[in-house]
Amino acid sequence: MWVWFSRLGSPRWFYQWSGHWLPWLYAAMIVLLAIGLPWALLFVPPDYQQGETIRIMYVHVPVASISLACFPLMAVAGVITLVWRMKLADMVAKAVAPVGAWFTAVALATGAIWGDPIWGTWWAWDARLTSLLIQFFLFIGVIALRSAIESPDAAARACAILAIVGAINVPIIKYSVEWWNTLHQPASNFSTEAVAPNPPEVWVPLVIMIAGVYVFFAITLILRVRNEILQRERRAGWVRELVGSAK
Amino acid sequence: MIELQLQFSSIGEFFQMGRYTFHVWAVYSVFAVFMGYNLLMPLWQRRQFIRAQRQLQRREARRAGAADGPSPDRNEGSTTA
Repeated sequence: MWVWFSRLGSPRWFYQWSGHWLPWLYAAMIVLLAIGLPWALLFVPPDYQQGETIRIMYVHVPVASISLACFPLMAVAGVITLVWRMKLADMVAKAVAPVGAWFTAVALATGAIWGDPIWGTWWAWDARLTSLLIQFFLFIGVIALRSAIESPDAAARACAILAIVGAINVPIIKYSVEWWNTLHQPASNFSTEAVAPNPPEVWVPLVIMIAGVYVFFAITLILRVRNEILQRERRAGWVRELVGSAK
Repeated sequence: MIELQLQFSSIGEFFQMGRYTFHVWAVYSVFAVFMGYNLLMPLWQRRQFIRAQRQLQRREARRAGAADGPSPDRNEGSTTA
């Protein structure tokens, strides 16, 4: 376990290991989205209240739920950076910030487009919407903080602390729909014991889309971490070799 | 188990999405741009990095070659520093 842990911390090892897995991730993403997207667009029955806008859910819910995973990931990477000084952890923390900002922005945008026909408004200062907007600003803040500090070590530590402190917002976003009874509806209950169970025609494609978007998230994060590794290790022999032999 | 039923009877109906043509297609367009950018941008950055580093390595190799022995065009005539 510890051997594995310290090996995973080696940027070079991660670069080679992720290069081996990337083709499989691309294949998994293509298969999942090739099933999920046509299913969501063509085969899901229109909702009895929302009509065809139910199809928006198959983009909005996966993107929004993954946007909530980004901040805890950045906070965990921050803890590892502070405690073990693992170089790779800080590279992940740096790479996940713009990814998290993107996912949060797309969750807000698709939510606004969905809100217009369903709630009659693009935006409201609802608890869920406001806390998610704060998350977007926190990601922007982390990115700005890193670029504002010249010393990479000091920047890594400052960003780690901001990520850990900012993670307090995540449970607030998650439970906002239960703590405050405002506009955004609570998460759907997809268990079979629910009062009105959702039919599998509705939730199976959602699960497929969530899995597909998760793989997409992994791919774009890994690609950014790999770029960060190359950038920081550019003086190392293996990177120089790679540059020389790359097409 | 799950009954798959095509919900539209024509291509035109599919593109119309009931009363929500704009809303449904706007969301899927945002999603397409989002995915496309986040898959291609890191690959493009990687290409830029490799191109820049290769140029740097070539320049370093040239400088190293010049330091090893007098190159014909640059060190002509200057035997002492």
